[in-house]
Amino acid sequence: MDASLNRRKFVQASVCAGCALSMGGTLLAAPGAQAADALPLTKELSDQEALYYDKLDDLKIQCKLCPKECRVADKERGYCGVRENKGGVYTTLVYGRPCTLHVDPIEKKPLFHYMPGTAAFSIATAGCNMECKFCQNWDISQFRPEQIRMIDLSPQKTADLAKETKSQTIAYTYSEPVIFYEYMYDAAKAARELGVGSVMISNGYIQEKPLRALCKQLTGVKIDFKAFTEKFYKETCSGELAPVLKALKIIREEGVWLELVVLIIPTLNDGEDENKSMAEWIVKNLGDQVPVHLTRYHPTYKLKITSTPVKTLEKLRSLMMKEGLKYVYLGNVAGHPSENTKCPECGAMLIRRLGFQTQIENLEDGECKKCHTKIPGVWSDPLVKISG
Amino acid sequence: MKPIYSRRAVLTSMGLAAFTGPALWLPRRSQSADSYLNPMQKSRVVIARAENILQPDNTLDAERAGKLLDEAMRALGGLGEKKEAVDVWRSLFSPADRVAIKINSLAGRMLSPHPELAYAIAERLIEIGIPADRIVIWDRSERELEKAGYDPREAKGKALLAATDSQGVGYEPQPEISGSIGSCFSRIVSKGCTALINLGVLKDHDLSGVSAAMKNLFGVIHNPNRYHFDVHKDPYLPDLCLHPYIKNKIRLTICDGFRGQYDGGPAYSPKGIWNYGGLIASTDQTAVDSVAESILSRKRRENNLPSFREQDREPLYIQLAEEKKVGRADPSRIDAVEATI
Ligand code: SF4
Repeated sequence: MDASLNRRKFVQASVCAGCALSMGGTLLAAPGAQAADALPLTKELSDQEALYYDKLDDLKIQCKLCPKECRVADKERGYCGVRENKGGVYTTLVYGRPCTLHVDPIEKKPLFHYMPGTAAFSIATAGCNMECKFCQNWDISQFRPEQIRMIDLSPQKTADLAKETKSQTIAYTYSEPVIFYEYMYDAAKAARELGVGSVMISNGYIQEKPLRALCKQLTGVKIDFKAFTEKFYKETCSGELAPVLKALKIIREEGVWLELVVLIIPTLNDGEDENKSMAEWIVKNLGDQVPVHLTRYHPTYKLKITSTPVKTLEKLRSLMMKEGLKYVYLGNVAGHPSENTKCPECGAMLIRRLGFQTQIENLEDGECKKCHTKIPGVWSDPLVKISG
Repeated sequence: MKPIYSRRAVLTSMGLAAFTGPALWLPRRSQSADSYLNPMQKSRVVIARAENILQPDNTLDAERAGKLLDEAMRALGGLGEKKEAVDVWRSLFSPADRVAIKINSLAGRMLSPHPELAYAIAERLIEIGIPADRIVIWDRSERELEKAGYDPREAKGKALLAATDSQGVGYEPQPEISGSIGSCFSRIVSKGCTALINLGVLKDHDLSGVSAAMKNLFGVIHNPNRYHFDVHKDPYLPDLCLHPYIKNKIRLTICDGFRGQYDGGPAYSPKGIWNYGGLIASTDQTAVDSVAESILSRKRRENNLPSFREQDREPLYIQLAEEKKVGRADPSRIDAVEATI
């Protein structure tokens, strides 16, 4: 296969998508996904040594990347399925091995206060350190890398491709970027050199040391805040809440732009008390300016409960706003007015959204044009710090 | 890597090409859990051992291995002199079956089921009328098969070699729930076979304590790493064995113990290796695990190693499998017999 030719084709296609996005100010067309078919596929897993693990006796290791702290014997893998013990050396099998590449609008992440209307070069590898029964991307997150497609794309090439596609940001997304930490870290570093930002779309299930180091390379983070009970994390996601709460505080401390998504699932995490407590916790620990996206669940993967009624989302939105949160959006509800950003002081329409289409109205230099209230977010160069 | 088998052969002979919907065949001679419900019935496990079969280079004397296998099967059938091993094979399989022999090749050539034993099993199946191209020796990946010493040239005329990652095979597109597990199954077990033989290895496992029979079947699902935490005490393995693909298809379990490993598993670790010199066979895989546990525990005691319980990896899943009626774990309900040549 002529990889260079195909790569060129991919870039051309993606650049067109980027052009559509960079028209700013008017309603922008969502670019849709760009297929990664044109890039060189490989069957070879990476054997890059992993970061953050301890060597134990008898060639065993203990991973210290996420709170699962897998103890892994020789030739075995950790829970995430993408890190393998090879004779006492822990390796990441997915370094430079994305399974999917798309140029998406940043709104799709969703990040609403981060460079609206821009393109995010979005990548993922196989694997995840949780197993959410409602995972929308389970066909990549719940598989081992060799069970699905692998593209041979080094961190540097990833950054180059982001630049070539005129993406202002690389989004590490779809599956769980924590488990491809080394690849994400190096790609973010390379991207930074090119003036391209990096956002992590994650479950926040990561240990402090790697998280603090990573924050230095990131320009934004979106955390899937799955619920506010340990029961939900344990039974529905095979995870834990406490380490996620800790990670959220660390991200805040490190000053990286943060937005939250809560997927509301009937009967499992839609209780008023639970969501009130969550809002209280957010206001107290992360501040009232953190955008929160309440998104609508639809049955998928192993969860067959019926879709969330829009009314439930609306009720929880007003409840959370009553607790003091200034920016609570609804997601997966096409055309709902709660997708728009309004000034919390004067109520002026700042950003109008329709699906992934965005129109900036009364927002200028991170301020409401009408009343000059500062609106928190990353509104210009992603490598410039938060303005709010 | 060169294709390890003819793609067309597996897809056609094992029936994978034809399938788009749910499984069409039901096994003719199911040894389902129901057969263990009779409280009067014990599960027979044969421990067949003989000297001079395992060679210094870790290959088997194929002829003697075949003879030991025959003796094991005769003993398994509880046969009087009148019956031959082939009758036992006939009682378990029919010429219309498509048989998948699932091996455990994780540890490579030094600690995987010996190819000579796998081929001997395939030859017995051919003897009862199952064509070689309806017998498949398989595991998760072609690479693992190759590393474990399985060579398509040697397998030729005895069985097909295939892996779930072979082109055109793959996993079922949707996960299926069975108790505590939810996984996509290899299409070899969901659609490619009517009968399953579990051919594992007698070895220690860091997390499950024992890996002999049930643990080998983690290799039929796409996400075994999801179930490794506390696998020694959680119901994952019994639940997997209760899925109809396993429960209705498994006919025979053979654990290769010519060489065993009582410590340092699941990878090959020379310090825990010993020549046990035989195999363990049963139609009840839980009973094979139970017997394997006692063999490995004895060996660990002899070598002054802490017990599985002391290391917090006692294989309680074996007892759970009895509670869930997968098979027998209680030694008093296992009829362990010895055989030799
Ligand atoms: S990153 Fe993977 S291997 Fe490491 S502790 Fe988490 S789940 Fe386990």
